[in-house]
Amino acid sequence: MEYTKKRKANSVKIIILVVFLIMIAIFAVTQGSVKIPVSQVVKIIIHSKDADQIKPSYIFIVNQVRLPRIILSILVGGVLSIIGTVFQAVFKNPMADPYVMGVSSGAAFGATMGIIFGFGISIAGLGMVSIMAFVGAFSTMLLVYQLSKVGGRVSTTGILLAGIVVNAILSSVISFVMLLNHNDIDKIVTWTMGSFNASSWDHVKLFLIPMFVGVAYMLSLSRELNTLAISENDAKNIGVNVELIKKGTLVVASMLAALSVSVSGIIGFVGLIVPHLFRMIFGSDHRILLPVSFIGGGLFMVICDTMARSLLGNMEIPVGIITSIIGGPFFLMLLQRHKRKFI
Amino acid sequence: MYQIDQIDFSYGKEEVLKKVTFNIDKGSFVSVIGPNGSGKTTLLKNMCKLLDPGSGKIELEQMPLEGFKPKQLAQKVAVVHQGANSDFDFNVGEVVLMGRYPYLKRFQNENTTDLDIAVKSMQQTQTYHLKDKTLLSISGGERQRVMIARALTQEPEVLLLDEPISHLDIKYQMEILKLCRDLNQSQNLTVFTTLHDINLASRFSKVIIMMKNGQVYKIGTPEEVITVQNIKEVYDIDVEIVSNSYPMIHPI
Repeated sequence: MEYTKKRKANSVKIIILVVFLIMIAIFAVTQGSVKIPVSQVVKIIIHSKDADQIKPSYIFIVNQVRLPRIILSILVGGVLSIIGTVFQAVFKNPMADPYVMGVSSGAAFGATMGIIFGFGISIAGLGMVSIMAFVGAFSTMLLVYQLSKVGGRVSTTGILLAGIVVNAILSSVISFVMLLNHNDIDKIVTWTMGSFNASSWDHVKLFLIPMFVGVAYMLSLSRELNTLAISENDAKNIGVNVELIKKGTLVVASMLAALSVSVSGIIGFVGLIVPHLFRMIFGSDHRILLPVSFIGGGLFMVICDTMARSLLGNMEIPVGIITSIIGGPFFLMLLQRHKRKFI
Repeated sequence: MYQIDQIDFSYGKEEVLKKVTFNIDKGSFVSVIGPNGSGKTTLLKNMCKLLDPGSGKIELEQMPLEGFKPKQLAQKVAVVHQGANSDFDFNVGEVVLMGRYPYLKRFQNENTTDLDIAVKSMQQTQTYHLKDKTLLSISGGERQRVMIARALTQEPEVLLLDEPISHLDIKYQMEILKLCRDLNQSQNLTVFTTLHDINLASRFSKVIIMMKNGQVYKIGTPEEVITVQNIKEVYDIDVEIVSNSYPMIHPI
């Protein structure tokens, strides 16, 4: 059968996407309020010997400002997309996204508290706002998880409903808090729209290990996700430990989402549209879909973030606005074209 | 090989199965019939560990069902559920190959033996020509055959089917039941299926279990079960029985 051939073709597709991602990333480094030529960017990145002829300010911008930001945006984009892909399969619901368990509103609530009470403490390079965001996201996730358990089992409908209700409650609370604290409204709004403005190597380091563990875990479940996406009962009877996989993916994915939110704020749409886009191109087989979603999410995010920081010159646009403005119509277009084939 | 011993099951307060007891012999072809809500599907779900009985026990080859690990059970028992509708599209070949899951370790890829088994199951179910089509692009009857192919790829000893022929036209109904009978006869595969159609159950089964209100009303050969009195008691209709090689009912 042409089965092994197909597996090879998949690896080739992944490699092509990675190369493309690297090219876009390098281009992204050249862009910004100061334009830096590609040749110099490459020299700085590979620590070429003639790097001393390059302006020190360029070296600083590339190494300390743009590279960590671009790398972080790729990682966060990749993580949000792969979570979206996993949740859509586990819930068998095409509308599921990384924030389905209330992670976003939990994070926003935590961050709002952090902004308002603004203690100047920071741990591991993360400010109080980020830490509070993570705490908020994580505790909301636990709450939604507990609410959705029916007789010891995780109910899919339960999670979706509990997530929606908790989101609605927390959003109202945030609005109320904003009403009482006029001075901080700008900060809160910017934060809830997402931004990589403050990215540093500390963020990248903090993100890297949990990301590797979490993504490796999800990649190892591709086969199980395939069976789950068709039918939960079938998956069970084919020998998949469905409860274990549901709980495992929910916890791991939600923690990664919480971590993403704490370093970059809430960035909507990425985790919803990238999985759909790549499912249309590559099909539903998670053995290829998960890796390409990760790479594609990174690609989409780095493009959006580059636009966010260069479109208006010195003024930065929250990246969440760009992802929605570009992502939304693009998604609708695909939906129209593939109406019949849609997932 | 399957012992169902005094099982009860309830959804909340509603008792769906009451003291259900029967045995299935290896190589048998058993159909479960009964009116809507008599507990057929719930019984099947208890037998494949999708639901756990409130009391009583189920044993497979003298071992309690709870003792089986998911993959271990899937090597012995394959289940074809009522048409699940998924929005996610997969190639038929991929779907059938999923049946090898219980035999594979975490990072192990399917080898040529696994592929051969999948191909064989597709040939048996006449779905090989569909292998490159996607699940959403084929007809309901074809999809049902694909799911049977996947079940056979598990190389099970028992095949459980839940209403395998509902929503299918008569041609596919016959094809699928004939396929089950062939597998039963040629490979000694034990078949257990819930059915709505009494005449088809009578025609294809070695044993019929007739259920009423969550209890086994009657169990036996088609001749023993399909009688004017039993049908009147369980379905509340009057019928005539026409007997050829098997009893056939004819509502009056």
